[in-house]
Amino acid sequence: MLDKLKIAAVLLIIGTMSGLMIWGTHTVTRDRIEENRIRKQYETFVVIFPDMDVSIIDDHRDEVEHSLITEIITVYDRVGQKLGYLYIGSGTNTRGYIDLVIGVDTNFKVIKITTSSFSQSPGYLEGMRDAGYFEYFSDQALSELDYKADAYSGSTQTHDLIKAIIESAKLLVAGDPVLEALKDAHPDVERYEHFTRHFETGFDEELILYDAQSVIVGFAFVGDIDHQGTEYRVAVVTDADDVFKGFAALEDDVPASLTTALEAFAGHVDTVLEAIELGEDLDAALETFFLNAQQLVETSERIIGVSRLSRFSGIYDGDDLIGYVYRGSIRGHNGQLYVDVAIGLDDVIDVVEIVHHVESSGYFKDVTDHLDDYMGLDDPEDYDTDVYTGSTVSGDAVYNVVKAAHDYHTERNGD
Amino acid sequence: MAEKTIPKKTIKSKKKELGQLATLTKGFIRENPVFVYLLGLCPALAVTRTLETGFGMGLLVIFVLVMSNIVVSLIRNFIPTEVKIPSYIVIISTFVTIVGLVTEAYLEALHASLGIFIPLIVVNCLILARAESFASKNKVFSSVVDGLGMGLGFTFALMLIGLTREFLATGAIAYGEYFPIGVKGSLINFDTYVFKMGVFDGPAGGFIVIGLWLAVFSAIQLHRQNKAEIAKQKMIEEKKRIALERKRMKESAGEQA
Amino acid sequence: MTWAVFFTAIVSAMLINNVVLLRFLGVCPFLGVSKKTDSAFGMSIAVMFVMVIASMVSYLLYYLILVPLEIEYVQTIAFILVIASLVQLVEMFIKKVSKGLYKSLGIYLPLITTNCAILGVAVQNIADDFVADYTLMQSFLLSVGTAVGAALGFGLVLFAFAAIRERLDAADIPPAWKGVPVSLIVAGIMALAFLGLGGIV
Repeated sequence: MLDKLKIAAVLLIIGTMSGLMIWGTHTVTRDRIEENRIRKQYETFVVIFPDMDVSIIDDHRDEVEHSLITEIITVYDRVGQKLGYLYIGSGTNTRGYIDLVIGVDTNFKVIKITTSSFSQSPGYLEGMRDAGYFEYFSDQALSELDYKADAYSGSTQTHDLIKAIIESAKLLVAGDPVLEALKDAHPDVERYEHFTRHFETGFDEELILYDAQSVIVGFAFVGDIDHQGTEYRVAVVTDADDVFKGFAALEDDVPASLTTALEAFAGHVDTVLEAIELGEDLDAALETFFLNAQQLVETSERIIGVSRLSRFSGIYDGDDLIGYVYRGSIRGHNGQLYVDVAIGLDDVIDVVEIVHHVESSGYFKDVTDHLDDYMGLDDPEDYDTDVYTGSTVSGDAVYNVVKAAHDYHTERNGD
Repeated sequence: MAEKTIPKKTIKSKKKELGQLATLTKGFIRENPVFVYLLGLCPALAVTRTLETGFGMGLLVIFVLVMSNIVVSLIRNFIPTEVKIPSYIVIISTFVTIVGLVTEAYLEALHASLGIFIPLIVVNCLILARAESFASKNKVFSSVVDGLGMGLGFTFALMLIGLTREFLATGAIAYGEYFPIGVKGSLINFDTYVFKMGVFDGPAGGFIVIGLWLAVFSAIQLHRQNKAEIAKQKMIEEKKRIALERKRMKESAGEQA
Repeated sequence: MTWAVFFTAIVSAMLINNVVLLRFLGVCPFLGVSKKTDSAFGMSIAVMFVMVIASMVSYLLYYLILVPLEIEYVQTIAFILVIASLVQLVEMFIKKVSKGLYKSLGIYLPLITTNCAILGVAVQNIADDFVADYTLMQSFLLSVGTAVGAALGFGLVLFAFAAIRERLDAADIPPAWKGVPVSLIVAGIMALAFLGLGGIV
């Protein structure tokens, strides 16, 4: 009995002494450890904003819900001037997780995108880093971010995860007047991308409109309109089937007179653009603008296999018309493909461009690498479709669009 | 021939003087915990990518070893045998926790690099073995010396492996990366080191380097054993010769008489 | 958390991030016991069992008791005590069930407590911080998966190594290399082989 008591007493004493010592050390080191942790967190931020003052940070954690972005931080420098924003997001895939930090300036232009911590199967992220994947982001506008395709082939899963996080950040970019205006006309729009296009008079920009799932939901043709002596950026917004959705004034302070003039077109909303007959008493500048848009978009008959083909615009050399651009949409492997085919008046294929796709980047690279093979062909059947190994569906889809565009072109231009 | 009798007293006192010093240095080669006793191989493999991390781990182990030896030695007469091992484990893990917290606070870079091997010091067989076999049977001061000796030997082993691996893998021995001593640099730096072999940075290299050094130490031991064997043989031969001499002298003396 | 993630965790812990050869946990028993295939078998089963159960208990202990009480820093002591108790239980169980096995395992049975693999896997499960991305239940299942994978990986490597060791001991090796040194070189080569599995999942 005494023995057992002795054992119990010894154990108790040892346990208590040990507990006390540990607790003591913990109390002494606790603050220092916390400091280290915070310092480590801000290490990533200071890389992006060297002038930032760590003590003044606006944390908008509550404003982000249902998003891969977990924190938006407004960053100030030591004199209280706003430097920009930090979007911190994270996500997991089967390879592990990635914590991303997106730093943008006050105009939502990317300063730097970097990882604060990650655990992906070894090699993938490092490989992408070495190939300049992250440097490529700097100085691009966040809302129309482009990805460096050859930096991530082979690390597709990792890239897809990073892309998803960045896309979430894009969606949260607040205060973009262009996006707000586009949304007024076409409520499904969540983001847009610029697309270079040769245009006839009246427009100098085309925007492709996407919804939250990155499906194309429409297009916007942008130009300057002279209204009462001042020029304003205005866009004609259509959906993916050329149905007119409305005008969008892409600037913040637009006079009431212009707004009224825009609203006069409201009666034509939800009608196919081609079929709209304009009435009287419309703002002259807007009317010309609208008619130009009508002329631009011409629907065609349904061609087998190709969901839609439309002649988009003419190609000009100075004042001379030298060809046309056709846009076709067709079902690819994972979803809709939008392909632009530029054909000269001599029926020679100039250029083939992929406007939008949702194919697997690894496979689709085969197709995009061989787009140049279309150049200079005056008969699409001369194109060698055997070059696609493993991407036949996507490759054939592109080929079908090119063929349909060429057929349409030769037919319409009377050969 | 009268045999010289070496006074026994002198031998004993001499032994005691050298005793402490010998204990301190025995851990380096003769009784190196890693290379001779094969204890603590897990950290020896994991944290020896660089010299500095090996050194850092060695320091932490010395601290835990010495402190736990002190405590175990202090209370060695009060612990009942049934709860010996669990008590040792609690004592050791206390000091491991303490050293872990301190590292996390003041040596953040080292803490991040050593990772889970800091809590794993508690299962480093070296510490438990010394507590069980030495500290529980000896006075505090001897235990401290023993702990220091073994700990230094362990650090020496880790530094040796770390040195080899870092040099073979990068051609440079960096310092200042993990300890905030204010300066960063390299002891040696062969920028044009052509034979850089990345394999030594990774797990395979760890195994191979330790295997190599083990072979070296094994060879040293075998050599020593051989020498002892030869010396023993010589002594036996010598004794035989002396016995033969005596016999001959006896015979010749007997003949004369 | 899908089944895919769960099975990936098992395969990852078993092969891609093999506990012994790539994470350096459990090397001492690895070199010490693997001299004969039959004792290696008994040893691995014991270790595997303790590893999985210990991981489960420590994980729950950490998240259900240590975290709410804000004493996470007691982790090391708590985990090692859990492991020590488990080993005691296993020892008593084996003693009752099979005296032969108990005798043949000898001192290696209580030595399972100091097996860095068991404590290492338990601590690693916490360090991996599954709860940042999954609910507690899902994280727990993931941790069990990792422990099972690690245990299987340990057993696999131990067994393979024992087979190699048997042949090595019979071979003609220079005296300085005999025993552990040459085994370590072999282990290094095995590690190289396992490195090749990286990036599969």
